[in-house]
Amino acid sequence: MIVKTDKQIVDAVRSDQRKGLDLMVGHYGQEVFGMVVRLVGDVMDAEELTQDTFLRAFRCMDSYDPQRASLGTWLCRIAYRLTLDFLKRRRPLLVSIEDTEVWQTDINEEQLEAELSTGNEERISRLEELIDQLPPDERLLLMLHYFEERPLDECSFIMDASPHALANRLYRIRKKLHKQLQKI
Amino acid sequence: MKTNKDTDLREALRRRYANTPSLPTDFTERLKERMDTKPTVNHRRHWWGWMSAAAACLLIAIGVEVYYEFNKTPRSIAKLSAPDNKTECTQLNNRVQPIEQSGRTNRAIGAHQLSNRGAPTKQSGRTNRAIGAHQPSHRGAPTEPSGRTNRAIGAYRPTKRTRPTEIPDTLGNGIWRSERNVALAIQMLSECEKTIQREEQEMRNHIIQATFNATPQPANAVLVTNEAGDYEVIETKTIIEI
Repeated sequence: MIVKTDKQIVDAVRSDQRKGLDLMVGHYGQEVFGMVVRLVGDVMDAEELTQDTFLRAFRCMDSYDPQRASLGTWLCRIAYRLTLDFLKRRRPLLVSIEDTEVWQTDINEEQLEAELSTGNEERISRLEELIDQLPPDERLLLMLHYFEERPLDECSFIMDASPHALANRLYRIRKKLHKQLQKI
Repeated sequence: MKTNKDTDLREALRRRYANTPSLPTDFTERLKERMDTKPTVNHRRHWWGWMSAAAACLLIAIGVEVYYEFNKTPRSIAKLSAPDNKTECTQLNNRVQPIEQSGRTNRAIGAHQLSNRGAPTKQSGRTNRAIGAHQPSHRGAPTEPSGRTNRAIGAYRPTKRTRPTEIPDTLGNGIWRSERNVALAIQMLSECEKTIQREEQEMRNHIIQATFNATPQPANAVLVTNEAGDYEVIETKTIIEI
């Protein structure tokens, strides 16, 4: 398979949409769909949202700036916005723990990291359940940063927030999970 | 930026999301189908949206217009349609030609002339003292008093005379569509006319009385009220003669 660069894909979309579509979906389809299906949980909804993402990308291709982010990251940003809108329409956001309760937890960064790195099977299973209870934006942040190993700069572009704000949010999520784990 | 180990969390995420379903094989075909159909649907939806918004705005504008047309309070109509009562009264009475007066002989005549509402009168002499003080009742163009009497006149003379012009139609013809508004306007005009006439009569009588009191009169001269309610200076001898 010939690996195409972002520039080639963008040029292909601008010159011939059908050909560009095949290229773009072949290259980034699974990445976008994977992110959406993990957030939404339903394959049919995820497929429709992925289609919406690509349609939006075709329509707004002129606004894409390769200097700011790669094409895949840009597509993920579109998908994230569409998915959040979809989830807001579908059901209210889940908030498992009050923020005040989280901030009252007195634990430093090292302790927190140790608490979340025990290797305890029971705790890992419990964490799996707790991740499902998180709001979608927090779940996505964990997914992008810990599962897909994306740097915070990239996450910040996708989620339209500053890296510093995302680092704070990540810390808060971890504290929240730790607090829940203590209740076992 | 430091990356945390958080191995438990990573492991939980890996287990939770490792088995992500793959993209359906016919995804591209379905996307192409949507590409062909979606723009038309969107365009139509936008068009109807704009049309609905425009229609709603139009309806609101008409509603507001109708509301204001038929719900104006009588007070607001009165305020706007009768701008300045005194000025209008003055304008309505510019009818009579100028009269010249002079000397002491005008004493009695002058008192009667006051009812001649009209163009300028020329007055001079001591008699102006009494007459001049009430000069505003001369409904008409400016008078030209002279001498010491100006002191009193100046105090009462209007600083600006307006020419007879039509009342500006500030409300538009729309207000006359309502019978209630027309009736109100007629009522206000008739009341205004009555008030003008009453004020004029009072002023005339006042001047006559003042003149009568201020000037030496024959012993048989008396001040009487005629049928119309105006004061008149007559001599009792004249009555006997009649």
